[in-house]
Amino acid sequence: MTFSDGAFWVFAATAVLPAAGILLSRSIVRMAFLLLVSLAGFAGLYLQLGAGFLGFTQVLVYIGGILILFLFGLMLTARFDVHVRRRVGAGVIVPGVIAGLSLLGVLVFLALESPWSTEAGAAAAAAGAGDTFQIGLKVLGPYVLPFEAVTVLLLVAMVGATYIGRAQMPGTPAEGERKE
Amino acid sequence: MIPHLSLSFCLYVSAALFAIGVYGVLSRQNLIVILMSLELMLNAVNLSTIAFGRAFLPASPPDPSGPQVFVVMVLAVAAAEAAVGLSILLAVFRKWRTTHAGRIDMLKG
Amino acid sequence: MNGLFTILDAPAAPAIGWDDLGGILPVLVLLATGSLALVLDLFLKEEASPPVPAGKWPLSFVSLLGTAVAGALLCGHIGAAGKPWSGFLGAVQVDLFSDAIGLIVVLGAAFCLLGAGDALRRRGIEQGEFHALVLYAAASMVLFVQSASLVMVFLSLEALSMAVYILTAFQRDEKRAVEGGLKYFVLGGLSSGFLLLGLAFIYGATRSTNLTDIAGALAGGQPPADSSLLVAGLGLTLIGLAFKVGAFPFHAWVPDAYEGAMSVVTGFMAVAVKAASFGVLLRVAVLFGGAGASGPGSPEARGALLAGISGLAVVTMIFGNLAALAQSSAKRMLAYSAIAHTGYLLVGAVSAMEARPGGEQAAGAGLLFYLFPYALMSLGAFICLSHLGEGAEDRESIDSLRGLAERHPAHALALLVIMVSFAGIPPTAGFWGKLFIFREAIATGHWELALVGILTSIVSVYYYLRLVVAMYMLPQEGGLPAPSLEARIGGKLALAIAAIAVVLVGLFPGIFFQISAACALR
Repeated sequence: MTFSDGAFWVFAATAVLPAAGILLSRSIVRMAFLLLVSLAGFAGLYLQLGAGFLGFTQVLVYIGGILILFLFGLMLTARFDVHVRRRVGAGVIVPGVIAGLSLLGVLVFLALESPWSTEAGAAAAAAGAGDTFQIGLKVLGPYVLPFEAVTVLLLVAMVGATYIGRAQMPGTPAEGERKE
Repeated sequence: MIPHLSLSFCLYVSAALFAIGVYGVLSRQNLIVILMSLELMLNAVNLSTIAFGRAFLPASPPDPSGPQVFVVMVLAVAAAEAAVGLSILLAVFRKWRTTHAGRIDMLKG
Repeated sequence: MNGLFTILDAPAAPAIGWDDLGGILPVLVLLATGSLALVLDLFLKEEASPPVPAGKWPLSFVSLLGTAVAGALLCGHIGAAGKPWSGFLGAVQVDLFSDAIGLIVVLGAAFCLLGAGDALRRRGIEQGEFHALVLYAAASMVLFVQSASLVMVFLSLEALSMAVYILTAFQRDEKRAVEGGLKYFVLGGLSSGFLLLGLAFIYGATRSTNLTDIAGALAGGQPPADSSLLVAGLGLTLIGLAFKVGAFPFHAWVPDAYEGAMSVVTGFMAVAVKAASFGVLLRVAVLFGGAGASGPGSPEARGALLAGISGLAVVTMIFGNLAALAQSSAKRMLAYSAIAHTGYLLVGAVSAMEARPGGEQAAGAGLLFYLFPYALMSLGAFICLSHLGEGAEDRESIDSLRGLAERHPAHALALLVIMVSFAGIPPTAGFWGKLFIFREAIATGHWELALVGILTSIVSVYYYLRLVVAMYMLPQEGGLPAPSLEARIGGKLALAIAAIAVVLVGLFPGIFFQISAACALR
């Protein structure tokens, strides 16, 4: 997987700029499509970094699955609140500030002393380090329990989401809600 | 081979996206947008994980395809999170007829 | 080893066998019982009117049996004083510490299920999903504490969080429940993001995803590849875990989620989620910041963790206790008091990171000891609120508890024992818990934490006793209907067990402290 520098910059921009656009946009549908573009940018970056399997999984799972889920959620609910206001709640600024500061600290340190070079990485990548075959071995080897933990997670999500989501359809108001 | 593909640069991209996600979660009022921002955060972390994994390759690869496996599993987590989040969103919408977080304020918070 | 999965074409590939499955047997039992409850529900008849006395009793029976078996397995392992065992090629580490925390988690699940039968029946939502989710959550929590790799830490945390989000909003036709679940979900998702970033940074800094390997490298005096990155990663991980345990200033979800959820679920959250998260917090703190025999490989990490956790402890103790003073709802008061107790537990985590004076390397004995009576008290208190409830409502406001001593003297007595113990008045279990935590803190040189703890404990006496005064000294207000409690066997049983156990731990603290010391992290 060797693209040019230019391609890398293009993918990085494809990931970041639409994401920033999400913050600026005022229409949810537009945001969803910007998210699509951003996620596609991520897929490109993964390919650039030698993680081919992940790149394609990203397209399948995120763009093919999760984003569609979002659009469903949007269509089921967003009839009234298409426009979005911006307001920072006072109670939640603290964690945001802490996160921002720690990120900033890390960035400064990394920019000053980045001890890694990635030049030889491509050779190792070409040797099949990120191969689907290797991933398969991993999943049935050291990652078999994490894999099972994922299945538990998905089971929980499935049971829970169907339970919470199935009561009444959004079109039919629940008891006591008709007067609104 | 790809000189500009330094770890720092990937981390910059990742940090920018993570920050956008955090800002989105904290500042946006629409629940769908909050969910999208959560997904952005997870994606940003995935990018750093992959970048780290790639950066270690020249030295001694302790676990060459490990990061990829991890990230694939995080994708599953993201999917589960989206499903659970949207089901709660539907429940919210059923009760309030809105997906606007600012109007859901029965509890004192 | 009997190979279940042997990897073809990979010479010398280690195999995963029956031994590995046997090691996580309690988890498997919980998972299997959860699925069984889900399937069993399909064969149980839906009764026409909600207040059916027995309801779907097989659901409760089967799921309680599952927790009993899992608890017995964990007890057996503690009793046999098994050596630490690492399985699934390093993905999990089972030791007495994880067993002890797992036991508290299973205890929380069992009490929740005991009280859940009538709580769900009253609301007309007695569904197998509830039992299944509680058991899945408990299984994920046990896995969470057993995690020995960063991957497992994240995945099991997410699994348990998803289950608890849903449980919070389980009363899906109740606005408060849905709102509590929503807030918990959004802030929980945010914290998961921080935690995941922290784990990615730890991986970046140490080049390994396996906690045991990382610990080995650090203890061997090998510095991490990038210690500033390690510190940032640990900081973010700490933020993520601080959210989960509800430490100030990451507590915003606690009051709302605790209030919105059904009281039985609140008890489960206050005990099991907190115990499991503290288990991992302590493991991470001792691993990266402990003054073990071999000394930390990264002094920066140790400094940052010590400063971070003690800072969180101080502000959490102060905030939780002061905020609890102002509450008029007993449930919200207990929610803020849960925050305050998080602060005390954080003090225990700080002293666990210090070297023992006597050369003993057991860390976190005080924290473990504290968790046990705390679990009993919280479960008892929340189950009592649920037990006295009517219809979709639990007995929540302090005013509604007025005159309880006359109408339900047994309940009032149980709640009295629990409140006195919460307040830490000797010679109750809560007193010993605080004593051991603060004594450890002073012995390891953190007298300022102990001082703040003692002062805030004195403040806490006021709000706990307010509840007692309402029950015993104030006349009943208005004509609140007295629910008939005859049919509610599960909740009654749970409350009785909790109160009696609190008294027992208060009378014989030595035995329990010895067990905690034996199970402490090594």
